[in-house]
Amino acid sequence: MSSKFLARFFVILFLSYIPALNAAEIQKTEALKVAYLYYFSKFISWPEEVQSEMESLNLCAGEVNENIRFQLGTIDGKKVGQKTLHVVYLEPDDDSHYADREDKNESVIERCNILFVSNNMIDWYHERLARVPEHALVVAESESVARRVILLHRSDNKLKFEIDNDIAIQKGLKISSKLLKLSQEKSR
Amino acid sequence: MKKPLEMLLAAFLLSFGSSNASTNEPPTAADLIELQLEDLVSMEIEIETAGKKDTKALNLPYAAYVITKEDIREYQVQTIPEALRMAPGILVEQMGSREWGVSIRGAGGRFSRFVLVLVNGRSLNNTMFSGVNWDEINLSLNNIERIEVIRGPNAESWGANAVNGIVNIITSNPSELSTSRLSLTKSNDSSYRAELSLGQEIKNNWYHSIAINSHSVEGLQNRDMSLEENSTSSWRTQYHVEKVEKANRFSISFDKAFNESSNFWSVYSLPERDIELIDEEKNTEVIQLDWQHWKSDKTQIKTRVSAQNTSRDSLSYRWDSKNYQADVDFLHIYDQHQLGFGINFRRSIGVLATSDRLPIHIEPDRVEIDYSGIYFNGKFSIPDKNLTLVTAARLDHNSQTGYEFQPSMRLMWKASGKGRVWYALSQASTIPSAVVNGGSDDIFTYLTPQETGSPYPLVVFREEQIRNIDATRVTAQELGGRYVWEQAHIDVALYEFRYSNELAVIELGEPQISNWPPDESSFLTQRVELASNYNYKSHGAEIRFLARFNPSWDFELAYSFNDVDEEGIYGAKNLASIRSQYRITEDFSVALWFRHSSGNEVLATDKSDTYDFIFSYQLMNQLKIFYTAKNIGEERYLNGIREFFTHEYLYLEENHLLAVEWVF
Repeated sequence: MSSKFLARFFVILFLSYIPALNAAEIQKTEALKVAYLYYFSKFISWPEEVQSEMESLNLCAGEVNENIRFQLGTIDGKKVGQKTLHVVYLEPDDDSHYADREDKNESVIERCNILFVSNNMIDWYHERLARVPEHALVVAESESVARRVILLHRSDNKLKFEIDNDIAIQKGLKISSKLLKLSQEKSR
Repeated sequence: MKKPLEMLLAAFLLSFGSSNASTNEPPTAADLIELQLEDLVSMEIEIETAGKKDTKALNLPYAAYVITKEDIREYQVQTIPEALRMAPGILVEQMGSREWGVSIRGAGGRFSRFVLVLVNGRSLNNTMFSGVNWDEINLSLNNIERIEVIRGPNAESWGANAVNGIVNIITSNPSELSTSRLSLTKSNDSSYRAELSLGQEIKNNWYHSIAINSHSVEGLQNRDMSLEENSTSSWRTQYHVEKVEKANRFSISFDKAFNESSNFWSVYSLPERDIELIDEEKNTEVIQLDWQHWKSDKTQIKTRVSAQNTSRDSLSYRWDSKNYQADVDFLHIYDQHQLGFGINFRRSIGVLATSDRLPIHIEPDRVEIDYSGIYFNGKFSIPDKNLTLVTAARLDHNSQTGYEFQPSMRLMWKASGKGRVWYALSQASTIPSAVVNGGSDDIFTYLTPQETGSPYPLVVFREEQIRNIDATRVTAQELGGRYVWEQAHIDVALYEFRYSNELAVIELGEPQISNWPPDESSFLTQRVELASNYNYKSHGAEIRFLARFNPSWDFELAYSFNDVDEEGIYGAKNLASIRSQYRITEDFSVALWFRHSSGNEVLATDKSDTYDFIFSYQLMNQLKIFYTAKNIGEERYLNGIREFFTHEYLYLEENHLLAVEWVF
């Protein structure tokens, strides 16, 4: 192969950078948050008896902003191992409160495998703590959320996560060592 | 042939550029989940090999590179040496269908002994020539988690032979195997590969996995295609059990492997030289135990014990080796600082028995070498100056050359949140091989009458080794820098290596005629001896640029330059690897891997520019198919030469592969 070819190769390569570098944009926090929720479902396993009864993996979300709702839509229906990830919303109608939809939501809550507790629904969550399934993976944005396994928080301009492995063990959840390594573990 | 390919390549790259021009949308969660979790966290990867502590690549004062399992899969790599071509500064020379030489920053060749090669921390460098038989590392590619490559001396934590660098191959832990995988690959010749890996939890945090592979390759041919190696096959089974607890990780693994090789050897019935195809069968068994204990948030203990037995059998020689290794490492974090301490033991036993026709013998034919070492390293942070100082020292003893001291100092400056600059000064040593110390009456070189310009061939004999051979040492200086953007990063390293006590051939007297008066059976003889008195310098530069230009396009450039100041053991002066993968749809992707090598200048291998095209299609949720065109761009080329014991060289060719992968 001639050196002329190589020179041309590198010129083409250089030209192809320019528009590409302009296209690079900062990842949106919401997309990252939702991507993490997907990865948690991938690297955490539920007790066998729960797993065998699962038809799909239900990711429940409460009142979330439009951006997160959009991002959740992009992972709805994705495969996680042999299960399909389903996004389930627990939010109320515009003119009602969570409590008004309690009956409707009750059965839904009991089917949650992952429960994302956004800052808008902390009170609602604590009121219904008893109904949250024993093995549900609770992911929260605030430290004040009880029985949370994972805390998502910002640090050094990055979205990071902290795992409380003690609570995970109590809930029968097994967190892969890879996830533990990448997290800022609360206790070891 | 080349013109259409050139146009295709141009169209390929330009189409990427134009497609990016219209891509200004931020990535969605669906795009991000295509990334590796590590990438998601910070686009940085943790590396264990440097300093034995997992550290973010950004903060490593080393020239480090990681080949991930996705790299291996997406680029349809068929062997570990082939995967290593992705890293800058690594020269991979293939001299047979199952024979490679791998070197870092020069000092190449089949018997390269300046790279320490590890599998999960277990050393694979043998006692005979201190290097590695790469065909014996026939691990299941599906079961490799990552390959860490550290360029430059890094002996402080790992011991001898980490002179020019380290290759640490890390296999998947059973607890991390979330899926089982079956993959089948068939080449357009008779080669095939079949791999199966299964992993599951037993109960109570106990996990186990099994990885099985079977591989067959067609032999290579010489230049005029008058000689061809036999097809060979290999298989390996690895069973791995692991228990993971909050503060403990324990694992035990068993390997059983079988390998065939078929290599051409020069054989002698003086004054005649002939070539002989020698088929070899190798059987390997390995057991390895690992225990990691976190005594607290700040204190960690790692222990490793392993035993390996390999027997290599052919009609012309038998070579058996046994290795026993034990390591204990302590790590403690104190305030902002990190302290490490460790002890290592290794016992290697090698037996080599050869027929008279082969030009290699050792006396005695059984060699036992004991190694022991102790090391200390400390990482001290000075936050208000944004400086990190890593100092380390290692004291080794081996029963061949006695004590070796290997110190190092590395200083890293955190120039900004995303930029780092580092400088390193270090020394490392290798140990002379059993063949160097114990070889005698070997035919070192044979020159034909045409080559000598006389009526007789010249046979260079090696005398019994009388002088003491000292360990070859390198004193290295490195200057490196890296910068990380949101979706790209760049790594640059400059280095100078000063080698001392390198092996040299000393002529003993003038050439003699074998018998007088000369007749048809006569030949010239030159007797030589080895001495460790050769000093030389090398220097070079490496650059790596990695970018995810948009969620669909990954790009990487790795380039390295290496040169020596005098006639030395060259590698290739220029090496480049360019990888680009574009996901056209969610299910369909195209990848291009271009490789350039200026060839090994001393051994006179070919300069080559080759590329692979890989097309992959996700046919169903669990089923993916790959088509790969390999080694396009050069019809046939000489990629590597075994520097001793052969005079027929084998050529690489283009080939095509079809693979299916089933995940369940």
